[in-house]
Amino acid sequence: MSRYDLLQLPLLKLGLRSRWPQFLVRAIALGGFIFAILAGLLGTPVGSRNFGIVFVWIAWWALLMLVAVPLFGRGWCSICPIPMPGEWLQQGNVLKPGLGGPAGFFRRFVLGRRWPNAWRNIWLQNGAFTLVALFSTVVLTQPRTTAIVLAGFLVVAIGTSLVFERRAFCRYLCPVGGFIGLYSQLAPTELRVKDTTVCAAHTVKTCYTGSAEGYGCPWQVFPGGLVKNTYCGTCMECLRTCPHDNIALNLRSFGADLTIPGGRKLDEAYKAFIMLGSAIVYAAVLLGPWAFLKSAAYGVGSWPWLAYALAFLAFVFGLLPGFFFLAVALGRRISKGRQPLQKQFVAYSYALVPLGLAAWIAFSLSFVLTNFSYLWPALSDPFGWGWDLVGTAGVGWTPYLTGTIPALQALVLLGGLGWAALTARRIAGETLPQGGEIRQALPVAAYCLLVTTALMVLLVG
Amino acid sequence: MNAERTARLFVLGLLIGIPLSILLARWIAPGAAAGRPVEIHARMPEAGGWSPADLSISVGVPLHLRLVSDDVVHSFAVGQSDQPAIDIYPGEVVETTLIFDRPGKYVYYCTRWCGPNHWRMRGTIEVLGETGEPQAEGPPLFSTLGIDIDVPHPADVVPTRRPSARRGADLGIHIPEKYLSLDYLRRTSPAGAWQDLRAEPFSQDLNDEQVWDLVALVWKLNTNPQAIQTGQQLFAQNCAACHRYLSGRSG
Repeated sequence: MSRYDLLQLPLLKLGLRSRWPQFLVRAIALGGFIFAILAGLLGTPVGSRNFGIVFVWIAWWALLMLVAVPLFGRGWCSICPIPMPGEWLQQGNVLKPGLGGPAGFFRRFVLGRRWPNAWRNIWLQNGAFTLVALFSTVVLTQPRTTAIVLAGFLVVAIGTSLVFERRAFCRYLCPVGGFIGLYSQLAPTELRVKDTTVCAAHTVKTCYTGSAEGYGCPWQVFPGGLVKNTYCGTCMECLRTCPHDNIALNLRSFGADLTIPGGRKLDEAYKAFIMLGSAIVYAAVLLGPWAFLKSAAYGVGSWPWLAYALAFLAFVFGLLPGFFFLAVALGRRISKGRQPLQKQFVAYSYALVPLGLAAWIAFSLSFVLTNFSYLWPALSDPFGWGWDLVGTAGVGWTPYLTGTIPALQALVLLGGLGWAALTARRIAGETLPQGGEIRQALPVAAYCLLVTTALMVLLVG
Repeated sequence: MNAERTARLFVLGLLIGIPLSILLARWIAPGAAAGRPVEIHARMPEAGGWSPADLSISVGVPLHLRLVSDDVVHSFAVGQSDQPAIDIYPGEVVETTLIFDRPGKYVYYCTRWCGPNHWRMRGTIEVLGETGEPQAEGPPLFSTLGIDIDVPHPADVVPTRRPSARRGADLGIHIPEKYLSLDYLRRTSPAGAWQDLRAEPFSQDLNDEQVWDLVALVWKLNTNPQAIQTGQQLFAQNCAACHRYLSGRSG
């Protein structure tokens, strides 16, 4: 599989090695983040006129799901402002590597503990995402709730940075980072080392321990061992610390990580189910015609909401994986496969990664294009206080490209289905000879077809 | 200044500067120089209605209002005022200035169907003035008459056809004087009048629809063409948005 190292472009390499461009983008993003929190807390409770809602759940979400994740994987993580304040306290510096840690007063608060071994997985991220998902109808529409959730992210990130070493929040807790990691396997970009023997011979491992040029990998990843994008935050610290210029930022084919048999885990498998299930539920609740479903999802704390929450959990953690398990078992039976069933269940769940991303893109297309025009008044009057900063406060709501949305959604969903089926066949081919792999993958492909049909009905109609 | 210090100052500037500038901008919001406007938030009555609901101002002093809806479309209208109702769209700010030339207590209210309790959405503006100045009309009639308009007034029998004053007159029944006073009309709902008329000896042989025709006759006898025309205008202006306005004058 051919790859092209983007760092061969001198200007790009210079820009990524320098700390300033990344710092400036992150700092400005931090300013925007604080602004969004303040808008949510102080501004109008009308979501469509509040900067907090419009910029986070329309503009940022569009950028993330339609551009950043599909093309740059964890690209967003490299400029995410949430860990910035915590890292400042943890490292003592905000720009240059502070190898000595914080000085003076703050030193006593920085414990620098290792993240517990039992939680070195993404189960907590799965739980965090599910928790947010259960309240999402309220979070997505009420500025104050959005502000509280965003502020909560910041507080937890700061607290985690004080107690644990490196970016433990990003790696093990952030609900957004969890699914970005999963879907980053599909991106046509990757950060890898050029030559693993160079890393093996390099005894100091400054990419992990840090140097005067940069921090040791904040994501607790040894770049020499990287084979997938999932846990690489593309923070570019290793590019700065590697004394052998052994880091590459490759352009590659889409979804290259899915073809790697190693490193498949149950927590990641469940992340795929949670994401796929959430996309289906959101499509039904937010875009569907069922008023009772909307009322139940909005009525946080009520009995109908409790029923909705239980149904959500049962669907995501029981029904979806349950039927998938049956599909995998059926494929194993008809192909006379000998791999352990649980291992196959985990392996095949990676076929749901492209389908899940397609579902989220299709879902996002529906409301992002429809509601994007809310951006203009929110820019001019971010708090709904009657300002008109850039003269766009009076711009009315105008849905964009509504005629093409269903076709785009159908195209994306069908593409996701095809990609999922091909991935399933490829996974089957890892252990079975030609012919057998099709029989084994067939029930999984049928499962994907069923899910795609459901999404088509919900999203396209 | 080294790079690290510059970066720290930049971040601190953002962290402190953004909230500070927002608060300052809010503090010196438009209108501050000319007397700070009163911001009235409109919410569905279940969520609080008008906030603040009670205002006061002196005669002749401009009352600058910033009207904001926090949920659905509302409309702002002041009783005993010629000013047309002002629509308030969610999250948008509408400004208006009122000047009252007579003291008194004015009711302001929502004229848009904003929820099941829309008609409860009322507030008051107390206009203070020198003693001896002509007073504005007093509080609303329902208030002075002691009518609890929040209590349901279900009809015992709902007419299946539109009641007709002409059919009522054709019945040839002499309507007693007590039904022909303005006071009776103001205190009694049509359903109440139907109950009263139903209990009269002269209506014993009438069916329920005919009694409703008598109710229509009572209303007709208590009015005149000019009052009907005024009522139609008021209805079109204040009520038709929710209660439909048809050429047949049903509402």
